[in-house]
Amino acid sequence: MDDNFAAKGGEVLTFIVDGVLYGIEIKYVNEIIGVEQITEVPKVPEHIKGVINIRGKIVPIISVRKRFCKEEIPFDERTCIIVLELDDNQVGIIVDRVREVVIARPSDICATPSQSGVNQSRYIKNIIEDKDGIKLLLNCERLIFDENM
Amino acid sequence: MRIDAGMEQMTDMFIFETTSLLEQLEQILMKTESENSFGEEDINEIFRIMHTIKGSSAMMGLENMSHLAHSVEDLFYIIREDRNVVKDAAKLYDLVFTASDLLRAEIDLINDDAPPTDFSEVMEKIRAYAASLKKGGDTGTPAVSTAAPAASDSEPAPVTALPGMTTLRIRFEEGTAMIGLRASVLLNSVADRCISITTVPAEFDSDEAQKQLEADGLILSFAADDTDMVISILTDGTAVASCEELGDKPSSDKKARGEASKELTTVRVMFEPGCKMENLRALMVVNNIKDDCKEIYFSPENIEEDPSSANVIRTDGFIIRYRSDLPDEEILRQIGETPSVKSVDTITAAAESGAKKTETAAAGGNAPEKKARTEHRQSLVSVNLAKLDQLLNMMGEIVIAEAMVTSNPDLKGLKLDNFQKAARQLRKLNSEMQDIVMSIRMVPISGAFNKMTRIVRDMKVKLGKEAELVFEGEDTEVDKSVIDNLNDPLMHMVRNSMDHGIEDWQEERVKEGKPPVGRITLSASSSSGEVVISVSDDGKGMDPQKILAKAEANGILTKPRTEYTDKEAFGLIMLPGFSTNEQVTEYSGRGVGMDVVKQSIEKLGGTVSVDSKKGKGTTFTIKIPLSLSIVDGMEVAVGRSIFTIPINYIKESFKLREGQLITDTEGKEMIMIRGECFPLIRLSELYGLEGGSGDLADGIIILVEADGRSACLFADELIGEQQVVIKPFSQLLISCGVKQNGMAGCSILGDGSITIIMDISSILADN
Repeated sequence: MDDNFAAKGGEVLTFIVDGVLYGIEIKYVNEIIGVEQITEVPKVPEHIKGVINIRGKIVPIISVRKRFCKEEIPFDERTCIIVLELDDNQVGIIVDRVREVVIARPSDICATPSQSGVNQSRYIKNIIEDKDGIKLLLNCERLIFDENM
Repeated sequence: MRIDAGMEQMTDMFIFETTSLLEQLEQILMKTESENSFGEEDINEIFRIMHTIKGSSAMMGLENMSHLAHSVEDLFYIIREDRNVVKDAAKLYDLVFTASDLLRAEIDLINDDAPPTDFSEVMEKIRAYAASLKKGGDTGTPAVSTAAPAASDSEPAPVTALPGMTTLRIRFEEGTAMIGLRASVLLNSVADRCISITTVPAEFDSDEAQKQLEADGLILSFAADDTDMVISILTDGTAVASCEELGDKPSSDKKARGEASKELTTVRVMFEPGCKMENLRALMVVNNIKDDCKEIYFSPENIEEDPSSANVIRTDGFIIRYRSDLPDEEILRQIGETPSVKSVDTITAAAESGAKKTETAAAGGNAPEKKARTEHRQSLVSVNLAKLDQLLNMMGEIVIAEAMVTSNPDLKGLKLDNFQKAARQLRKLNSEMQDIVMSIRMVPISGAFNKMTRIVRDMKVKLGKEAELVFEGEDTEVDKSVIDNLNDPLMHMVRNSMDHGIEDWQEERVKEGKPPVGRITLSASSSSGEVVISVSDDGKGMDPQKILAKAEANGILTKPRTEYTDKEAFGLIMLPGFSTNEQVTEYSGRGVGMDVVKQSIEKLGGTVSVDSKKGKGTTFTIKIPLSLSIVDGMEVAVGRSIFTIPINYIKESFKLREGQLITDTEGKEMIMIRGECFPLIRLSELYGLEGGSGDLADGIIILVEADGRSACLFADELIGEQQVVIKPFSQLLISCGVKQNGMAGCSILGDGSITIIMDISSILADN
């Protein structure tokens, strides 16, 4: 699927976490909601903030800040939960703010340098560079399911 | 595979029916094989199954399946004639099992675009076997060519025109597809208006019949009260091109008999009121007298296939016309002796006014037993599982909605007697409905167990080991969705037991003082919301040291080898990439299998454990929640979180009194209740939560018990009792190990907030 996106391009939802512009392929995105009451689940890794109730479905929530080992900030009115759907699993990610949906053309997409830093690029699938600047396209599967931080 | 357009909506039904027929077939085969004898019932049943599959797959346009079923049907036609012809029973079973497997595999392919599988090789074998049977066993019975379509014995011999009958030739429009089906539709459309009908060809399924229909049209002879009406119905039938009257004799009747010395006798048979299945009883009547009759016709005609003909027989009686050398009295006596026959009247050919009347007392025989079985069958309805799932989900939503209404925050502090009364009524009805919805989904586990019989049988043959399969508690009921997911794990475990467990040589067993024949036991039982299923063998058992060595070699050990307990070592065999068998056999040893078992059981929310004693055997134990997706729970607050404890685990809850608390030298807290000491588990510590009071006197103590273990839980506050719907954790949380940390699932409360349901048995097991 990686190659497919790099070759064909596609729509990308962009959002900001800790001042950095990230993107996520639109096909994973179910909806964007405001932050509501999160019920803590004990004894899970720190980046999993808990679960919320979305119309009768119980959806776990991941803090992207925590995931990227950044300091957490209090939620404000721009804080959003992007609800993603991967292989029938719904997962929400908390981001500082959502920007827009952009169309990434294949010519704008570059691969991540293979020997780049170990820490961040494990979650980065591609880098998109267009006239607005650089966006880091996240690898959804890794972002959500990778266990070892 | 190609399914005729317009048949698509039938596909599901076809797959369902055929699959269950094949299952039935296997059960009969397994039974007869173990008893080593064919009963007449069994043969008829197999014959019937194959006949139905043949018909329905032809209808679906799946000719290869139809032909294969046909060849098996032919085979059993021969066996039915003379049961003693079967010499090489093992070969017979092999052939029929193969055919059944092939049919099953073909059904799986139906929705794919794969070309129809060629069954000719197997069919050839079946035919050859059938031919050998005939050679060995033909004792002058009329030869039935196995290649030709088998005439079901309910169908009379040659069709001839009868006095007082009208004969028509119906031609279908050219290029009509599925001409056989059209012909039978046509026939059914007039069947209830006719006293008797006969046709050429007699059946429409086979290729020959279809060709004949195309070339000569359908020749139909009938006797009816309103002949004109019937003709007009036939003329108006779909795809009918022409409908001409043929005078007295159908043109195809080339073998008009000279010996028509004796007139046909027509009798009307009435059955006992309320005896059910009149059509099959009628068939028994026909079978009783057919050997003594030269010719026999009856109406309604399609008694074997069409259960609705029973209604016609019930109201109008069953009309038989026969020609026999025996005196009429003898035939009437034979008819009268058939169970449940109430009366036999002879009807003169012209009018239907009864002349002779022979009252007969019905002989009971096996009639009641048969009746019970039919009623059982008729009261069953097959329902799409997706609808049941929807129903269950809906039920869950209703429970939540009920809580939203009855414990609505707006009602707080109001005194609403009538409302409370109505709410109680609602709750009662809802909980009754829940029970019903649950019970609909429950099916006995025997279905899943029975499938294993076949696996054991096949492996016995292939591996040359002797083993018997024993069931215990097979009538334990489990949710349908659980059963469906149990087949694969069970199969892997049984294979594992057969292949690795049971010793290769009987001598080894005898030397160990065990009976020479190995035994695999499948057992099921339910206890406090769980089903426990175990697969155990009395084979050679497993050696933990060997397992550890192997695991070490495969690099799947996560801690030093010496630190593993036996139980942990056995658990290793369920890790991916582990297989103790050096050689890969057809059945196991590929390193998959046991990890698949573990995965699929965990998907169901259950656990698997292995226990083994070297030289004594191995036992796999599966525990699965009993689908109970709605539980009565007690909500407790711990810090800011709300947890739900399933009420069936709670023994009592109380405030701590002075002097009850005991602290041992290691700082472990225990609580003394009525002279018994229970360990204290602080939930805030268990779950690593902040907040809440640390003082035991402020909170509440809840005594819980599961699997014979008890402990006291300490929570901050008891909130109240509520029914909750268990929603499973998402895959993400399960991969984080929530299940290992004493959480069973979560649920949504009336106010939309989420509560976590505690897994008491796992908490108690860990502490």
